Amino acid sequence: MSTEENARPDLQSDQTEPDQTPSDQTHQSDLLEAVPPAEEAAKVAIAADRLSLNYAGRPALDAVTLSIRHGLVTAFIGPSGCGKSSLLRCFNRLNDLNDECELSGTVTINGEDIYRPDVDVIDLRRRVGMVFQRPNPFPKSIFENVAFGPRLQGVKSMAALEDTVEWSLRGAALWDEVKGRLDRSALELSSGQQQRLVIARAIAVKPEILLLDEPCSSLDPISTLKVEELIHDLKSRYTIVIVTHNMQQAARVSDYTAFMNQGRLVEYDSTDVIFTNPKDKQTEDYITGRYG
Amino acid sequence: MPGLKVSRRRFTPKSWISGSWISLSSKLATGTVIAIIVAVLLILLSGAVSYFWPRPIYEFWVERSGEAAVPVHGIIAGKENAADGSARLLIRSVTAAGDDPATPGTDRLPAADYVWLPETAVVQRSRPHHLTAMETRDGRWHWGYVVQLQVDGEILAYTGSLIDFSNQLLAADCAAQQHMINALRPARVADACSDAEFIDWRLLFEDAERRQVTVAGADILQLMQPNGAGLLDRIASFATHLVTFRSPNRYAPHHGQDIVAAIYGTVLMVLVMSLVVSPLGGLAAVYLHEYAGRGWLATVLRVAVNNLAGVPSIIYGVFGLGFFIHAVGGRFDQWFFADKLPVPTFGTGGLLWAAMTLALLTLPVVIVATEEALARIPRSLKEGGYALGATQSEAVRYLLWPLALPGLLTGMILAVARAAGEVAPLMLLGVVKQASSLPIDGNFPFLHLERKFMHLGYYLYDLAFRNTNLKEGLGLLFAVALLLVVVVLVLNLSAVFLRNRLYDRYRKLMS
Ligand SMILES: Nc1ncnc2c1ncn2[C@@H]1O[C@H](COP(=O)(O)OP(=O)(O)O)[C@@H](O)[C@H]1O
Ligand SMILES: [Mg+2]
Repeated sequence: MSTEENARPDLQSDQTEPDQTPSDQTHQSDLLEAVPPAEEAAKVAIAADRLSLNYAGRPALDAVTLSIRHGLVTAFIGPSGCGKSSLLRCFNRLNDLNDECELSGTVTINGEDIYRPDVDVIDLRRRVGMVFQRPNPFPKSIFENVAFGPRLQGVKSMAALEDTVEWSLRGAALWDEVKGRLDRSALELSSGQQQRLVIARAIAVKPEILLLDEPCSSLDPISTLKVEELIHDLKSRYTIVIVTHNMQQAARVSDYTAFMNQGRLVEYDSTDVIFTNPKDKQTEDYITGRYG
Repeated sequence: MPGLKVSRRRFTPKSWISGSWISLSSKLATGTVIAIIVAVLLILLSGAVSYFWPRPIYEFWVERSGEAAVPVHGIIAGKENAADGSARLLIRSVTAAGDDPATPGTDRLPAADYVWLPETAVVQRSRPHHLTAMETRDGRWHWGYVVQLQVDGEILAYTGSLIDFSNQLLAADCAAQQHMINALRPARVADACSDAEFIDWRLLFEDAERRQVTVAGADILQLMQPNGAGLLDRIASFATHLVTFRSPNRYAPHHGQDIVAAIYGTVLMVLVMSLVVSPLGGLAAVYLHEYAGRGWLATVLRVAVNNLAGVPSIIYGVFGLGFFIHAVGGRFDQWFFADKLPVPTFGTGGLLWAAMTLALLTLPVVIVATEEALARIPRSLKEGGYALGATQSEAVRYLLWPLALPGLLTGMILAVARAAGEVAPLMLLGVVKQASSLPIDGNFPFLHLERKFMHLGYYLYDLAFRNTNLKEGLGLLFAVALLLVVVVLVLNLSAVFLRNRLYDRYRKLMS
């Protein structure tokens, strides 16, 4: 039952007022009710435990503890600079690239501590795909962009690569738009198409988890809508964590929402609860636009 | 729209003046730079053109101290105004006054030399159409008239115009006389001996002093009547002389072959240097940017790279001499060419060591340019690679390296420009005035990197020292200088072309 414990959206004990402790329990029951098949819901994809992170001594995350459920969409919201991206990048160890970055606490994915020294980071990053705020297609053809990941894993057969590329582009709802010009440069696509291409590139390596860091912030409304629909479609196959600035988007696409502020996890609950009945004053202020 | 306020930029006199001052001065500066470049090119071009352009031959009638006027044939090489207002002409000619270095003997004409003629002494000057310039095999020039042409002892019908005569020969289609036509066509520089269908022909030549000499056709390199030639013939003559790099006006024995050898040497050295410096510079830049981090070693390396660019090139020459030639080359000889010692193979100056030294010289430029290109690559691109499970070396190889290539080529463009113009270090590293063999030929292994080589820059340097103060000599100098500019330009443009093709691919990403 320890996973059950972890699944409980955790409120920071140091900032939780004493009278909130009972509501904490209400929380838990709410959450369990919110997810119909109980066994499925109990599966935890990512769990962070007292995760803290400093950039050259400046704290960016402060003892964040949360569990992200398997097969659902979890949204991170919060004012910019509050550490959403930093937290996301802990889940695929992308922070390792930054020498100034110091980390404490643990992150487990499917029960496995990903910061153990013997973990294969390359394989971890394959299993945990990531899409960035600005579309970052490689300066290669559309085909090569999607085939990049499979090629890295040693797939050489052209037929297999073609299959994967088509499957991924269909998965990212881009196939119909680009099927005739796979050999054209990816840089010729519109930014909305580029973002879907990047998603296709991410799912081409068949990850279990997709981390989307403000995937729509540089897109126009129509492209945003397409990406949101895509997230809906992908939901059945992947565990998705999405960072967003857009409150409506979080409400539309996510099952669970975590509100963060200044490196802390303030409130984490089912999206319905967060948007209709937030427990924390800060959360309420933020989602009603009274923040700051 | 009511209430919509258009913000106006406020112009104060001060901002207007300073703004326009900057734009004006930047325009002026650009204009000046362009003007200087154009002026340099024009000077080189005019010098070079005048070197290959067939100049008119004059017949001067010169009167000296009351004596009867005598004819002098020659080319005007210069003019000088004295302080007292009188002018004198510099003539390349066989002097009429008898102070010429004439070879004794009747069958040889005196060779041309420079003489000064006071302008007042010239009572008449003209450019007779049939006045002929003859270059003989010994490299001398003579001016006069062709009086008679004979083939196998038979005198041919000849009106005085070589052009008419060669046209007649051509019309007659007598293949046996091809050689004669070759020598007679004013545009041709004939090589009599190489001609298979050799016939015995000779001509009777009369100089300004009415001395007549019979000259064998085999001794004649070229015959020209530039005064009578039309524009097309002159252009043809210019073009042929340009290609063979010989002047139609003055003695220039080996230039044609020398120039070709020097072009080969220059281009080959630059190519070998590029082959050495591009991987070296590119990999060093990748190392500095991607792997070195911020440790003291990286700092030392960066400081060294940035400062190496400022070291005078002769110091590289000394280094190349000490390190490459003596240390490395000497060792090479002991290991691989011991049978030839004490004659050194690699233990002496040669193309390889010159190219290696220039590669070191241009290394900083290449590293800096490549590193700048690497720094311009958006971080997100690399992260995108890592997020897909790329290792560092895969990210470098598949994502960073292709994008660094345009920068590397920019570095190569700068490196080529610098290397092709560098002379000082080469003098220590195997460049020679005259090379007996090219560094590339048909003998295995075709590319002979150990050979000494000629170089346009050094050739120019040598020419400038050999040439006296004669203005006419500058023609060749300018021609070689222009050629060097053209060679550097061609090398550069090919690198630019290559880079632009790469840029096209990545432009959208970089903007
Ligand atoms: N690479 C970095 N180096 C130093 N500080 C960073 C770096 N990335 C983020 N930060 C800092 O960490 C804090 C959290 O940033 P981030 O996770 O990007 O916030 P968010 O994504 O919520 O806007 C910010 O104060 C930011 O300035
Ligand atoms: Mg962010």
